Amino acid sequence: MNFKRIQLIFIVAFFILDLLLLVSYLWGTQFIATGSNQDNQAAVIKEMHGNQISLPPLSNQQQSGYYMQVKVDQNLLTASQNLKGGTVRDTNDLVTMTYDQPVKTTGQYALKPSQIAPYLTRNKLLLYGNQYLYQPELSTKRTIVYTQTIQGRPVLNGAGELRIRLNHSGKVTGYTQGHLVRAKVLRSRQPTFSQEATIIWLYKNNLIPDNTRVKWVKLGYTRFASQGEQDVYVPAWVAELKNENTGTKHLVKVNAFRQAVIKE
Amino acid sequence: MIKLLRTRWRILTLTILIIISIGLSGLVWVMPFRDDRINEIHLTHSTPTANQQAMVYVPTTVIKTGNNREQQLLFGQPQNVVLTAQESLQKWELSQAHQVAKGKIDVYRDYLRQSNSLLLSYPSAVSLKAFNTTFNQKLPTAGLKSVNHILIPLNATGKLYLMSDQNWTVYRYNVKAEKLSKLRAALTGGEQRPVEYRQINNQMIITYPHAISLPTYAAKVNYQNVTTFTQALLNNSRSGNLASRKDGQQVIYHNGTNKRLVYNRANGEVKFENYLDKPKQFTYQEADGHFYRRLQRTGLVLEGLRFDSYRLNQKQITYRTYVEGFPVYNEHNYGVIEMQQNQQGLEEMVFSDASLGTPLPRTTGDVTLPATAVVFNALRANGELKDVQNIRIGYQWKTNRRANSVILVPTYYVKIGNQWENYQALVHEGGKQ
Repeated sequence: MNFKRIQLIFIVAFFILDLLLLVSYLWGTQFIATGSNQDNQAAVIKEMHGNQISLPPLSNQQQSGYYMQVKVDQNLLTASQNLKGGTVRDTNDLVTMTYDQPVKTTGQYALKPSQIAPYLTRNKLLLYGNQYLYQPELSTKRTIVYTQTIQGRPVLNGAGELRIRLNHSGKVTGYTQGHLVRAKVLRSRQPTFSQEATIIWLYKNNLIPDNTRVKWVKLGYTRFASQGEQDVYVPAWVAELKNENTGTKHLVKVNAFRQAVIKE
Repeated sequence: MIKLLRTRWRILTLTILIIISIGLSGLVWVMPFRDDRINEIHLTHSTPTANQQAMVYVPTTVIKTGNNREQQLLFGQPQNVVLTAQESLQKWELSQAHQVAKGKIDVYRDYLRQSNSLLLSYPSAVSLKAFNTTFNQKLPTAGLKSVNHILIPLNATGKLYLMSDQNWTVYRYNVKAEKLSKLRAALTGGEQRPVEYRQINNQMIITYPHAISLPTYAAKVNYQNVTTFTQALLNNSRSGNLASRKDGQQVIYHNGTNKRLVYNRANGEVKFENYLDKPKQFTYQEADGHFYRRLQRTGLVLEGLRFDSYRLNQKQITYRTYVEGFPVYNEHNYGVIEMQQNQQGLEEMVFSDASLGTPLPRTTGDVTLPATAVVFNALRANGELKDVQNIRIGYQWKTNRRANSVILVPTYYVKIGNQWENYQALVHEGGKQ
């Protein structure tokens, strides 16, 4: 092998080395910062699966929401007293109606759960039923849950809920209603943490024990503060957790703007 | 000469390649955030994503320029103009950078006042890389280095401008997939006030030509427990008692010899010092990412926090709480975080345990401020106008320690000697103490 050839080999070798170093440098400055975060998130999700935590599909898309100011409808009780066919009473800003005769919603025209509130409203047995949206995840066989919406998202606490009670034969025996009015935007729209980031945060803070099924995770509004008669609502990720050993279920609410558990 | 090249080209090429490889090795070696990453997941309880940096590194000021170049400051639009612009721009493709102005402040001012356009401004220059992160772009840092303003023509020209106060530089980009409908819709509602760009002490400054009335804002005040910070910053996770001693109102926490956190119980100030064995090197383009990752590690609630300023030579960065696009000021620096890494490898952070919390419904009315010219006249009479570096309207956070809520009141703040001062303190009390 002559000296020229050795030189050529060295040139090729160093050229390749330079290329590799360049790639490694660019990779380091440009991509690792974001890439590793996604890897981290994927790693945590994997770790959760390892701990017998089962998850629904989670989105890592950033959402947005508002700080809202709303009022509890103080006239709901008075207005509801004009409804016929039952008796109403007031319990902590909620109105509970008990019908004298259970209302039939099956039979000739079997109503879907989502149609019951509008049906009751049409028949003057319920007020504002059309303002509420049916929530299958929150409903059970005997309780059909509807919620009001703020900025297109469900109100996920009692003050904006309509819970319709059914008896064993599927007839409506009454309901409990909370009604919010005069929703006003308190601050401009802000980005929220993603669904996935919220679940990971819950897990890292030991709020999702092993052997848990996360049944669903929804972005809605919930009460956070009050000032006089005004309530402040914030976007919150609400998750239903089911203990796979005992079968018990509970809801966790996380402030979607600042990752903190909201207690009621 | 040519003959020499022909006979020696191998040696020459080899030499050049070896020099390049040494240079690149050096770069890779000192590349920042190598050892930064691995522990992140265990140390902080937040979930780091690129998205979150984009929440902090956003423009704060929105100015709409009409057909006759009259300018309005927009704020409080329900849809949030900046957020909408961010969501839109993330889908646009910017290409073909073209420098259209440099070195001439008059030309620059014309761009700031381009008719029928939207101007989004950062509180001070951010690196192009930070712009790229926030707006999901891949613009090369070889041309424009920093961004003060983003200029979006509203008549669908397929062009976008990035402007840097550094040497009054303007770059134009072609926009592919531009859609303006959402952005135009986001401009409706909210508040607007007339403004004018004026040149003061060789700076372009937003001024208010008339007396201006602004809303007050109410919010809760949050106080974080100091253990949040000692756990996050002194790596004192879970068990183990941290060495600490009291010195009057101060509590001093240690971890080994190189980390120290001093908590002032009287005013809530937290000062963290970290003597780095191997200080991380970072370029101007990398600084925002570096400090943002440090910020995430503090355990602080980052909501409402914005990048406020960066001093290149001191490697000193300031993050500040903003409300509807206006900076918030407090005498104890509540809601402000300052970080610095000095030449000797000492990393310092100063922040507070108090932060601005959930907004509350307003209980107080608007406040009227004089036109900016009135403030300038008062400063001139005091002999301080020549030292003015900047002026802006901010909201004063004035509460007792441990107050549950605060009413934020607008006033002018003047930057003199790199410090922001309430103009009333400057004017009425005979200047700086």
